[in-house]
Amino acid sequence: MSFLNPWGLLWLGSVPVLLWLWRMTSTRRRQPVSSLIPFEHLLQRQAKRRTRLIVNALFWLQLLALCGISFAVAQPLVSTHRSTVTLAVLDTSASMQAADRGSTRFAHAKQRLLHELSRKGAFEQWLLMTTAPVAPLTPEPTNDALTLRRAVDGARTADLGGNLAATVRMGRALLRAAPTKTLIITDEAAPAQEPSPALTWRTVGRPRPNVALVGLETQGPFCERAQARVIATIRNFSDAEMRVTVRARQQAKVLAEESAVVAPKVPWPCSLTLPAQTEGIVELSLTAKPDALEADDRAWITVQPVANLPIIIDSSQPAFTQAVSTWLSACPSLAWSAQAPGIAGPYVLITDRAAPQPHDAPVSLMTFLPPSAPRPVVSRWIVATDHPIGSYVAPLETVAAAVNLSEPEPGAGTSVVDALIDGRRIPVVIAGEQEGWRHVLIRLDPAFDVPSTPVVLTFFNSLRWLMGSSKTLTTGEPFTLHGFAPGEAAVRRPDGSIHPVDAQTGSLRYERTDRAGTYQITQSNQQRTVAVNFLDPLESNLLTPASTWAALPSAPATTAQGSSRARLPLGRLMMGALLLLLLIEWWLYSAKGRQR
Amino acid sequence: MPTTWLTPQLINRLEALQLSIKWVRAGHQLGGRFAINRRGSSVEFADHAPYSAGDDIRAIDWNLYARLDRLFIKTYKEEIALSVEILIDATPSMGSPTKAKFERAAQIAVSLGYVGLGDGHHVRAHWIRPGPRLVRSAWFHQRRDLPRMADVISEGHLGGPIGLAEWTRRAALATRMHGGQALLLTDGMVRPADFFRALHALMVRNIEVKVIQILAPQELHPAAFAHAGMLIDVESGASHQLAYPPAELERAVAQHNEQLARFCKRSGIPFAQHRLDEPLETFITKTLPARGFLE
Repeated sequence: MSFLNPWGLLWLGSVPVLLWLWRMTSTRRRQPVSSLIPFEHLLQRQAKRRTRLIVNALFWLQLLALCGISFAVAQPLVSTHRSTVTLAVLDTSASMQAADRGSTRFAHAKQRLLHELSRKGAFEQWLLMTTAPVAPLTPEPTNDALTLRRAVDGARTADLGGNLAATVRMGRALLRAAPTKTLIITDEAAPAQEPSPALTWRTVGRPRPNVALVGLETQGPFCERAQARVIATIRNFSDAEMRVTVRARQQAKVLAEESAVVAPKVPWPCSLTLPAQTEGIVELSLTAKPDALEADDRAWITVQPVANLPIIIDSSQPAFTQAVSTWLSACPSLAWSAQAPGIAGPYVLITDRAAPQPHDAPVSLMTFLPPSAPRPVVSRWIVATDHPIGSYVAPLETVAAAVNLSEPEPGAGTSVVDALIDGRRIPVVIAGEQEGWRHVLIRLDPAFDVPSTPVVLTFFNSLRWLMGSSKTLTTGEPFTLHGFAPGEAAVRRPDGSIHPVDAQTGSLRYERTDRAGTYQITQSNQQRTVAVNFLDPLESNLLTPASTWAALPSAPATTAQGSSRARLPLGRLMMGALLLLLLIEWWLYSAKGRQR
Repeated sequence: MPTTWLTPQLINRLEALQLSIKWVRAGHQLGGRFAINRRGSSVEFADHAPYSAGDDIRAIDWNLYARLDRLFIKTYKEEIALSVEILIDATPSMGSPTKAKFERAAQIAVSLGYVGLGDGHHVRAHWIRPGPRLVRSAWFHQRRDLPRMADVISEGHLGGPIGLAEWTRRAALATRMHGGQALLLTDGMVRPADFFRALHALMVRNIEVKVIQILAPQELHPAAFAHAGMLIDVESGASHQLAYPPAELERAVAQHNEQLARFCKRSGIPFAQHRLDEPLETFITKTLPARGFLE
């Protein structure tokens, strides 16, 4: 036996006090008797000071209660080797919020887990883990059923994706050994091949149709002073077409609305034109029926008042500079320069250099890779119309351009435009994003004599995409804000709770972005708002969800069964016994009172 | 005052009993139904007695003269009514530890009084308590006096402390007690010498005395008092620091009671001890006949 709080045993020091109290009470207690006559010969003897403490059952009960309180405060633990360790993984990812049979999948999962806990043996230790975020619900494996039940009751889902395999690995790491049994309660289907007999898989929920916002970006006014645009990418995760309505709101006022019938599994880039002068947080919401998950039906984006970034053309080829300049001249609101970059702020760099010079300021990069021997090639362009660069361009176009026919380097980004030439599919426009900054690789020569319309459109689409921003924070990503006074700031989360955050250095970093919505950061008179979105197609796909399970390495020879000692806390049990004891004591005391 | 304890069943059983009388001395009242071996005028033959001058010649037994050639007269028993004095201890000790002790004394008094009434005796109750006047009831003569007797005895209440011998002497003089029976109902919480003197004062007046000691269980076994630090006498208010083991307390009480019982036995006085946890009916119908109180 060991004690969690050995100092609690100091309460045993109160036992002498109890003895003293009893002694004092008994010597002062007056007992009326019918007569002292029967005791007369005793009275003639000299009264001695009583040395023996005369006690009754009440005293023993009080002594027992006092000792029991001391032990209960010390929180004794009984250790045993006979324990088994179960690692229970509770899926708390966003998909568990999906409505299912009158409740949510998560509610069903909790019920299942509580049912499993009710069948737990007294010395069976459990470690509860959640998948989103990957964290234990109890600090260590425990066999205390009440603690486990409370932990399960307190578990909440997050607007995050989850990974079952990673959670199990993390659980094993915390246990420092393989558990005797692993229980997974999730909405994912069990793997076709049962990994091991020690793994129990409980699936809750069934495939449900769902429509989700999976992408979001904003584009400010471009060539002329016009409205800003918000482009939301919608996906229909179902087997049938679904009518979807997307609305943009700001402070309960509908700014724009768009409806369409969205085909299954095909992304729909929904472009919403916002009224002029719109700036600040804009909320997007979609409505569709049926729609199982609400968490992916809303998103928030910040519309900046200033749209266009300055453009720098960096080339050693005058023809390239001239050709690009000619194109840019078509857009009077653009500010561009062929000078070497000397500005401090972010800008767009258009270059034909394979390795552009390093820059201090953040740069969005448009790189042209013209062929070494430019010659016009007629090709069929296959355009990914779901990408903003493919806007206004037909999915299939016949284009004459000086395309670079060499094979591109792998990992450059996503191919938006491919050219079919002699049976080969050659990427022409490749778009990518790195550390929040975008880059576009255009593999053609802009100085070619007769630029075709798709080429010019692709150029301007690329330019606009580069100037746009998809830098929406997604759940799970921390955000950092600067410019605060040294001190403490308060973060008001989307669920209404307020967390104090340290901003001693003038910067504030907040990491618990597990809820989609707006986070308001307040410090004295300063208030800022950060939008955090849940854009996770994997979680939104409730029809054919992707599995996050992966085969785990085989269990080590020593399992948690042999290495772990189950510790049964007796504190609560003792408290119950003490209550019973006090009840008996009260009854005895009352009975004595009635007798009197 | 309702006497719920006095049930028809108990009354029936009381009617089957009668007071045990060992001797009849002077002081009886004539006209009762108790026949005694004294020349009397009843029809019940008692004995033969030698003829002496002045005897009624109608009483001569001529058959016996024919056989013995001596004159004998036939004597007949005289039927008398005894006076039964019930002395109820009403000192404060009878209210301790509970008043049930005094109430039980009243119940026993009513029960024995009814038995006496059933035998045709005259019954009267006295309450042993201080005061300028002796507190006693009127005489009860007939069975139908039972409800009135029960009410009167039940309405008796406790008084202050008084010496038993002193009260007995005073009562015997004041009420001219002589002959008959005296039933003393007390807890025996008196000094033995005082107790002896009191009984003696009655016996010298040709009264057949019977003593019933009524005690609560905790008085018989005072080991529980050992938990207390100080004993307080409810009569005198005297206190004493308690520093004795429980066994010694028990022994002291047993010795005291033994002294009282031994004196009674030596003096031919029926003595019975009644515990409050003993059923009244059992005590009246079984214990008292066995101890020579009733038959």
